[in-house]
Amino acid sequence: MSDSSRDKAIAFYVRLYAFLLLSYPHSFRRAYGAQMTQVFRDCCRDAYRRRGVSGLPRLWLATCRDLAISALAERIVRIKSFFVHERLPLMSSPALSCVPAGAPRRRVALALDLAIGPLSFLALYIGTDSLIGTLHAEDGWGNTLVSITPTAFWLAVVLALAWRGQTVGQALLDLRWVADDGRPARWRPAGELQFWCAGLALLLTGGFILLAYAWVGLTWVLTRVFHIGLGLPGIWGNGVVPGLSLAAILVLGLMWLARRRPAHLARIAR
Amino acid sequence: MTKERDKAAPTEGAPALTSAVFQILMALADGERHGYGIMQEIALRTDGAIQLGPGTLYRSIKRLLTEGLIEESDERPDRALDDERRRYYRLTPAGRCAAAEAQRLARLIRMAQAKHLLAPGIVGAPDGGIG
Repeated sequence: MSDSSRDKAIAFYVRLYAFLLLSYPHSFRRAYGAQMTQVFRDCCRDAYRRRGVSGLPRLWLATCRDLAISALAERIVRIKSFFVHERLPLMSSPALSCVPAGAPRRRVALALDLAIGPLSFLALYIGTDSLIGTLHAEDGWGNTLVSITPTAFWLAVVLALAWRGQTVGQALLDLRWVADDGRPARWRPAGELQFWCAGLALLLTGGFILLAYAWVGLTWVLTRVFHIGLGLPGIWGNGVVPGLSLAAILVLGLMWLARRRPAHLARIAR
Repeated sequence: MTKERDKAAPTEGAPALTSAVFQILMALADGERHGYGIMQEIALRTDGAIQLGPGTLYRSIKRLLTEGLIEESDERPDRALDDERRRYYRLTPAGRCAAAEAQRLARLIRMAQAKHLLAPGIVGAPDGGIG
């Protein structure tokens, strides 16, 4: 194998290794990631010198085993530290600018957790209730899947944040409201991709659950008004009027946004 | 383990060091080395029986740094001789006390020998040290 082919093969394995370093906690990766990559590159060169091209896959297998064990151990240490010692490692970004400077960050996070916590139970209730209905042959799998999805989504978000060493409240605190630099105010992710995805999933899931319950509540009220009270067909109470109402709310919301935040809407449209 | 004990050198009452941690301390006993140098030294000294991966190596280094047994060296080799991005590590005075761990192992071997659990000749040193 020529030198350039050898370098390409080594570069491929090193890139793959650097990618897999994402399995370590962020703080560990930041402190040692570059050094670990450098050491792995040296190991690749050494393996190639000793055994030729066949040495690389062998080294790769051994390194993968080491990576899986040590990454899991680091994650366990981090989660243990989070749950047992209550040392809640936070990202270095500042809290919401609406929180007064120097406000007790942990207390704000705790308050948010207490406020948001019931959503977990709500999501679990919707999912399990629908699943039980299906198992008793009272409901179809289609409805169950719709109900279970936000539950699974929510649990995934909570677990992903716990894996990261954060509660939901802390994750929300790390989303910043940027309005003090003259540009239009907007939510901005404070950290890396993992956190951004978790934050987005959190907001979407919360919004989905609230919307679902708004729909159920609205149809319950309107069915009693139109169907039972006025004697109109059931579809007026649980289909036409709630649908038109939600559509009207959506249109009015967009109109308000267009008037108050034109730049923001244009960015969404792009 | 308390924070105070974390920072203490391995002494009589301290828990045994892991094999990887002990090997790293031994590798640094001769002088400062970078991560890959430590790996090479351990593999060489153990005839390839112990080969640390980068993950285990840096987890152990992290533990040793936290416990104050090793420190990062400020001195850098000549750019022409080595990659300037490498970080070198060396033993601290507390790390030098890792000899206590070696003495503990030697005592265990003497006990095993006294109980005829070890074949004669395994421990060659007349004072009972590891031969």
